[in-house]
Amino acid sequence: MTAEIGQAAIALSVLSALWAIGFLCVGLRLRNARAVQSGRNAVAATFFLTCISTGALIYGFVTDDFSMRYVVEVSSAAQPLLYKITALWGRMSGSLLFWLWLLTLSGVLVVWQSRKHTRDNLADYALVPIAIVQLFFILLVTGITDGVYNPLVRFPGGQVAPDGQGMNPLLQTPSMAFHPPTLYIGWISMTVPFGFAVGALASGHVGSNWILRSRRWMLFSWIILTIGITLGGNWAYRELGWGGYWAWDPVENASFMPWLLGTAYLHSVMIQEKRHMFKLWNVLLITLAFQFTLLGTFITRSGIITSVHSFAQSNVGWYFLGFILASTAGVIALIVYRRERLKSENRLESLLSRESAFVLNNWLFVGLTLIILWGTLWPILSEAINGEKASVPEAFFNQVVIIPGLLLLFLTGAGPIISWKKLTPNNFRRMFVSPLGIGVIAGALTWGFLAWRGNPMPIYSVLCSFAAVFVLAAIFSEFYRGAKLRAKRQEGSFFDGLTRLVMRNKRRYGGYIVHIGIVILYIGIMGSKGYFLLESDGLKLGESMQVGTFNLTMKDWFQERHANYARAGVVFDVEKNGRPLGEMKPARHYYEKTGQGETDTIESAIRHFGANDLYIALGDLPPNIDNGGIVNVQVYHNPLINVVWLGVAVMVLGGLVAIAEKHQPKPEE
Amino acid sequence: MFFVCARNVRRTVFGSPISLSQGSSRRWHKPGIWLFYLVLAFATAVPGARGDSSFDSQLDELMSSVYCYCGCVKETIQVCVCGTAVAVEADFRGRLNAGETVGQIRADYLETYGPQFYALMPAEGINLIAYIAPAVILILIGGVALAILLKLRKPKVATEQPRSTQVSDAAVEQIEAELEKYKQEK
Repeated sequence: MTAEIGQAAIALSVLSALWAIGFLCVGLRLRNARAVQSGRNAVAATFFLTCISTGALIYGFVTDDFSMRYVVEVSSAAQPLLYKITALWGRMSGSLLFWLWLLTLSGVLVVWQSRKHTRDNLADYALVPIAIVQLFFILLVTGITDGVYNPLVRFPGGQVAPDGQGMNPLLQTPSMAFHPPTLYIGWISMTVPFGFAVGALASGHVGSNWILRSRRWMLFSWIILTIGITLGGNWAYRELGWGGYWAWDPVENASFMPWLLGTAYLHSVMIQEKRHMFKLWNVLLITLAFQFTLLGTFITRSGIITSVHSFAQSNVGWYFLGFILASTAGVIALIVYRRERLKSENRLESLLSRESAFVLNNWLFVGLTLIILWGTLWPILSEAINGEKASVPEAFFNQVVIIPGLLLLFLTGAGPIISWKKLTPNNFRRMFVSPLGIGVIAGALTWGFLAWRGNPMPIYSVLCSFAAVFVLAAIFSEFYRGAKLRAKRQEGSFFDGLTRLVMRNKRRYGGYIVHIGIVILYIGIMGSKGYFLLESDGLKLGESMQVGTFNLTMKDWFQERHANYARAGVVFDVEKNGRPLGEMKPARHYYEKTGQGETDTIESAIRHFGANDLYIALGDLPPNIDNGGIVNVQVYHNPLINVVWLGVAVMVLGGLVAIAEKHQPKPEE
Repeated sequence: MFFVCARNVRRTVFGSPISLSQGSSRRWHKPGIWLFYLVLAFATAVPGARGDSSFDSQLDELMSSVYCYCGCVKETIQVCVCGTAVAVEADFRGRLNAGETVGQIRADYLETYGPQFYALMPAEGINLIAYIAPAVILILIGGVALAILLKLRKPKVATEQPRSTQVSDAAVEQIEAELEKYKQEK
């Protein structure tokens, strides 16, 4: 009965979404407050109905209702409760329902947030595109489209399966319990700023209010996407057994591209707020960022490109492509209609100014996005040109993003210290000369050191050292000067001054903290990607292998039974320079219920040594392991890999500081 | 992600930590320098790896240039830990020992399993377009950005001011310095 209630709720949500769109449009057009209120209520009703359908599906999982097709496909009786719940997004239909639930939640939050904004109808205008996006997802979830079925549907004829097939073993990890939802939340919350942009175009109020009203949504989206992408990298590092965290997989790229565009947008809106410029560009940028969240879904779901994320593929991706094209056309039509109001109100004083730095920053972010899109789609393009699907390796992306990446790193330091309107010689002398000098010294030291060591010295490492130290010097000088001044004025300590400085301008200094995090991240990437060690060998029990100063001896093997899988692995004694460090136990999990292909997972053993990791991945254990059977072992020494995670943590911290600042929209319109 | 990376290549690294150096003449810059070199020191605190023989380097070149066909996505033979990769590695070893070249063995592998298992994508033939396009994209977008900047730039006023109303460069600099100071205080 619960499933039927859920199905009815989905069917009713079609009506409520249509109601919301219709009444909001009519109410806003005719300035009828009651109709608008009815539309807002319908948005809330859609959320309520989606809660019922999502709750019904979760109930099906928890109670092992194997009369439901989706429950059978992604769950099993022995699956732990956490993974029964996370099975909600284990495959196509459920993940779309979960997406829809989050989308309706964001809609109702916009209604709730705007309850006090009676001066304008901007939020009501924004609710129209949000409700349209909701309707698109509701239609997909109803199962009327080809390639996706209603997740609450039961098997025909009252059939009940004895047990479920179980979720893909790769997804049965704690990080996979959190990685997809965080990415979804990040993507979906980008719908709200997009809704406000479209609402601003529709209402004609294209000033800065829509930016201020959606600023926290965008920052929230950025923070959550940052966390989500990193969780994905951490999952890949722990679960896929290849010792890395980023391989430019199409779906990794799909999550990274909206992040890049969102970051560009967070910078460019500052010009509109401060100088009333780039109104058109900001609308285009948020539209692009939103469309890239859907494009990611298209790439993930259509199966046009091979990816490790092949958990949910069907024809549904093509509906996404259609929706992307239709909604982009709609936005372009509105832009053309409002083109006069989108003109900049001010002019650039100089090409050497913070405004220009932001334009450069946007050029690089958008350029990087398009380059990554190009590399992601190249297999399809090459197939269309010569009939052979090229496989784009990680090295390709590393090569093509390195220059814009380093330029962006430099701008991370230059942007905050260049003055608005015009960079004067005095400003240059006071703000740039010292950080540049220190950066040059750092680059030269790096170059000299590596040349002295006899390492093949890519110029990029030198440039990265230069840029990283320049940025740190520039940002720290900003903090130092500001804190010192505040301390002097308040007659307090330097620390008091620093605290006051940050608290008084959370957005600005939160942004600077993010920049510091980015530098740390770059350093981590430089170490972990550029200077790692990999050794592979086939070992018998009792044999040893050497990785750098580490000596590993495979002394024993083990197996354990768990609720829905068996764990088998080996025990290594680890020594560093002859000093014992204890044991490491890499293993493999062999699952009994493997509905989606994989039967086992690699459970790497990872040991942290400060910023570095020793990482062991294991091949299959042979049946004759006790009698000289060989186990294939890969051992990595990953320098600075933990600096990557630290860098992201600092970035998130900076984002949280920035989001704490409240902005009151001005009554300009 | 921004480095010519070599997940698939056996690497040698530095032998001992670098010495921390102070590159700053001002006190407030020291933390940045120290932080950077401290972190960099971690990267370099890895002992040297073994030297590769010619056979090993050929095997590495081969194993890092093709993806495993076991079903894992985009893991080279060198990185993949599955049984298939072990068998392929053994086959590669045998054929290299028998005198076949890296090119011959790779060509056979790709003919058997398909060109999508080639992990290198050299910048030649049709793939040359893939390598050129990013630069073209950057230049095109950069051109558009520059055009926008030039269009938005305030036109210079060519009117000559009477000498008596002109402000000296020193005075302008002083005003700018005071303005900056005011901004900082604010």
